[in-house]
Amino acid sequence: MSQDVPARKRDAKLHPRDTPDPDAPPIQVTGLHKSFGELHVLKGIDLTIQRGEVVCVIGPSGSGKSTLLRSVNLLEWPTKGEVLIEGIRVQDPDVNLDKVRTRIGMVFQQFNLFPHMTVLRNVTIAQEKVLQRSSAEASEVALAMLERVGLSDKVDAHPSQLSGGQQQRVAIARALSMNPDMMLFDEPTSALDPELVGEVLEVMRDLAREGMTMMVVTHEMGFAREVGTRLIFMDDGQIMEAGDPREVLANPQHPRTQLFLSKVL
Amino acid sequence: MALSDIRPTVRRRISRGTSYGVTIVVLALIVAYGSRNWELLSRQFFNGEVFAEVLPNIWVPILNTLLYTVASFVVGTALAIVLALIKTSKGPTRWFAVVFIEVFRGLPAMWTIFAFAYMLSTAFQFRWPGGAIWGGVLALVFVTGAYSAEIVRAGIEAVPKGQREAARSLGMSQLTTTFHVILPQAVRIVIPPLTNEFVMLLKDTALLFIAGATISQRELTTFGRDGLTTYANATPMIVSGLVYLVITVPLTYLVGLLEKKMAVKK
Ligand SMILES: Nc1ncnc2c1ncn2[C@@H]1O[C@H](COP(=O)(O)OP(=O)(O)OP(=O)(O)O)[C@@H](O)[C@H]1O
Ligand SMILES: [Mg+2]
Repeated sequence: MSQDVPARKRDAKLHPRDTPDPDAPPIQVTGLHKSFGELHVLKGIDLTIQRGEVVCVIGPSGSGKSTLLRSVNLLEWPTKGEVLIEGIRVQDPDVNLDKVRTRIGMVFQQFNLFPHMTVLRNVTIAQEKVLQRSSAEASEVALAMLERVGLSDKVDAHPSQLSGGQQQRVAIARALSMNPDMMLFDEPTSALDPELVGEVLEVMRDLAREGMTMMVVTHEMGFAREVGTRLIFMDDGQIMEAGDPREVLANPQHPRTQLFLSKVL
Repeated sequence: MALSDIRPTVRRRISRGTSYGVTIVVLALIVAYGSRNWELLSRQFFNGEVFAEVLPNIWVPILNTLLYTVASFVVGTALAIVLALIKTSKGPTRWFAVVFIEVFRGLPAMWTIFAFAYMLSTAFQFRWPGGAIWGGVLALVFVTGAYSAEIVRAGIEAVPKGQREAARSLGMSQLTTTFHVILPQAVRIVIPPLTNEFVMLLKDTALLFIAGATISQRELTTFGRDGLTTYANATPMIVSGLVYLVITVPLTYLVGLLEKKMAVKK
């Protein structure tokens, strides 16, 4: 090891704070606040998600669901509070955030596929540029993932040639190709025509069955009831109510939850 | 009855009729003047003998014009990308890009060329390798770099935010994201306006005539001017003007086509 490594970095080597702890919960959020200027969006969120859990998040528009999800992989930097991913304090300046992010797959409402790349390239590029996999290996993984979401025949297509449902499944395959330990979904079916929602939910259901840790912001109460292990109701930047999805949906305790569910169910 | 009281369709028909009328009158005057003075016109502007004499000498100025244009376009575009990336980044270096862009867009290109070609070398007592004209070309690099930086920045900002977020969420670094996800998409957006900038730059190489060129370094405008004084005849100017048009008019049409094509895609 060369001598001119800064002391900070050397410490990090001795106490590798960015090695995931297999016993720690995948996601642990404590006292999380987030403000955009004057706007106080998250007002103290505490949330621990254990391995294999499927946590569904519901709540009215503007309640901070997306902001919470985006704070988990630090697309939004917390104003206050801590985010721990597999025991790693991700806000620590020593932590390689890019490396942590490879273990957190994220799926967006608007798919966000790379429009200038083929489907295959969409799924291989991060493997090659981030995980340094060879292009042969990356392609092999990509084909397996595309097979898994039922799109092996679309390898050479460009995103614009696919339906919304197909694009979203490619986005899921792209996230899975990094072998993440957990997946975040932000309203993955909200931009889809109703008849395309099912195919995406089907893929997510399979993932949950295989034991993937998932955090899903959704309006699909059926999915939450059937697949979710926990349901969280958010309002005004706070978690108002949380519990078994069937119970919360059938018998909401908080008046705000009752009001919200009476509108959407 | 006031003009504004007439129905719009009628008014449009009247104004179109007027513009046709004006065009016809002007054309008639030109033809009348031209036919009466044809001998003078053809001798001054389309002189076959002068043309035959300058023709062998025009290829070098054509190549030089293209060389100065392409060189300053390529280097200037690279500079523009760097400036745009610095300007869209956070941190104090941002201000370097802001000042650079404002200065070189705010100064007359002619001033900048003269300053680079002569002021700097006089003040600091040096010679531009290859001659003062290359100082002028460097000035064009900075000027076009400043203009194109704004074009590139707009292109980068036109790429949806979700693209960067998707890339970062896959663990891509800032740099990888920029080079593999953002810039390739920005380039597509930016091709028509950059082609426009190329046309502007081609025309701006005419300003290099104040930077002083040797015979082998002359561009088209210097060539035309030299011909004018040598032969006391306008033909060389006309020829160089036509060469500019042969290049710029098709490129301008191409920009229009590209823009239309991109509009359809959206
Ligand atoms: N980058 C930002 N800058 C400023 N305000 C923001 C930003 N991102 C979100 N907000 C604001 O924060 C609040 C919460 O937004 P968020 O997207 O988290 O809500 P949400 O619960 O996901 O809503 P929806 O159901 O509509 O997606 C909103 O008022 C939104 O306008
Ligand atoms: Mg949202």
